[in-house]
Amino acid sequence: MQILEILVFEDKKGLFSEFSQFLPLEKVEQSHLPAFRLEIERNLVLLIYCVDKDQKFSQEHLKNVFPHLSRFILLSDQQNFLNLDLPDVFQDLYNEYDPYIASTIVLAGDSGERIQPVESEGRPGYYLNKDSRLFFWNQNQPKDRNRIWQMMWEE
Amino acid sequence: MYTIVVFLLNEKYRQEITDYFRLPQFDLHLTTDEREVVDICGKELVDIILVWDANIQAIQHLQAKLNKMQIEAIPLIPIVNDSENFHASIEAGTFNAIQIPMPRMEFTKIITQLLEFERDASHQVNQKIADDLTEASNLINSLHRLSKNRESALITVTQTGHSGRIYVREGKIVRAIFRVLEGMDALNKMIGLYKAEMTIHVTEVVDEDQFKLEVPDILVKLHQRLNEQRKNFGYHLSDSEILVVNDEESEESPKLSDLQRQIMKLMAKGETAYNILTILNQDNLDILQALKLLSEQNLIVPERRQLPEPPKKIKEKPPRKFFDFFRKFFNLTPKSNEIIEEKNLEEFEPELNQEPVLNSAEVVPNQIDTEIRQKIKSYFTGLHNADS
Repeated sequence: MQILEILVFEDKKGLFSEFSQFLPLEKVEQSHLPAFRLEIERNLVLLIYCVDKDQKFSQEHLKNVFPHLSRFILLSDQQNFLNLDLPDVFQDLYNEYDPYIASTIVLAGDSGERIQPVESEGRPGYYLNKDSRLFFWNQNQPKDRNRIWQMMWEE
Repeated sequence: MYTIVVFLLNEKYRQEITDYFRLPQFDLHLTTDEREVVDICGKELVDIILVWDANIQAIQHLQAKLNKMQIEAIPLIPIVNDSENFHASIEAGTFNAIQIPMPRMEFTKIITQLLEFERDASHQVNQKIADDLTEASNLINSLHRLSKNRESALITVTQTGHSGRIYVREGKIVRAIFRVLEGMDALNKMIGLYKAEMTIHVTEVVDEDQFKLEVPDILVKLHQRLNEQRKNFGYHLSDSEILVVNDEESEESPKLSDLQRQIMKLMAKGETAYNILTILNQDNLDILQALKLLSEQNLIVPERRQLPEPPKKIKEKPPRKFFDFFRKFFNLTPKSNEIIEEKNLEEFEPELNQEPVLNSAEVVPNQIDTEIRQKIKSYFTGLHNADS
């Protein structure tokens, strides 16, 4: 049995629920952090922890989770993202493990408009790890989130 | 080929371990049963035991089981995933604990070094037996390995100019001498020395067998002596605590034994406790007991040395960098409460114990297998199509 652990940080409560609406997630009881199980096949399971910035969680629980993560997903509203601040305990651990965990940043918006990168630095993947991605999610297009879930695993 | 036994305590690592040790140079035995670990170690020539996702209780329990079966010679390496267990392992005396996660390359380097070190033990030269008895089992390990490989060798043990020899012929210990001591007395003396050095010469040995015991029995007795010495005389006689005669007390006290008087005279001449163990022919345990009693009576006291002060660490944390690059990416100015003063970066001691990353794009994150990716992607594609 292979278990891939994923940590989702949602900037606004309910974003993950919307982002994963079409997935047959099973809630995991008795977990220190809110967690969901997604069975890909019999021997392959994704274990998805979901936290938001207003939630109270202990550093110890996060310290146990971070070293084993396969992926970190940040869900944020496009506008809120500009002012996003992670809780200290979270940010310190993220900084430490950042080189070793692939990140997927998903910026949600309800229209096709996007915050534009500066042209001279707008090269895709310039600031991200080899395996990390930045996606814009149009919430009015349900297929958009399906597409993002597929593409985030591409090499 | 290296024979590895992995005592698995967390199922989630099974696939990863199996994949890693699939390489042709490894013969892997993976089990979740402690009894099976002991069983394999008793039957095969195992190079190392890895306890994976180790905790201190599991390590101690397994060590006790191996000791009971006289299989102490195989190195036991805890693989731990948190700093608490890492430090607990070090304090318990297992100095080769490995903390995960760790980049694969780094892990390979460490495991290979450990395996090569252990495998070459029978051919190593100038190896220290012990700084504080924690690694005294290096001598026992070497004897065990020579025995298993049925090799012949001459082992020389030296401490401050005094040397002893152990003759091994085709894996059998045939002779041991240390100054005027012979046989088990010589072996007992050598195994208990502090800061001694060991040299192994693989060579033909023709000496006749003076021991009436087989090697496993000899090694059991040596283990027992070592354990007794560690258990009863736990203070390590470290460099920072040299024992000297307390001039305020009389050494002519009628309560002193002959051995204690001998020790006091040698110490008065400037001999250290390490040297006294080597110089005197009495049993190490008796000498250490005498030292302990002298210390309790305040007739010898520690001479404390000044250790150099550790370098001062800069307490400020490096500035936050999580979203700095995104702000730059979108050409955003930092928020007012995040304006950070210019610091002399050379003064910072990074908190991370990894090499500094110059460009995050150059560092390869934890890689997920291509096959796994495909499976996951196919799964989501399937869902997407169903949704359509």
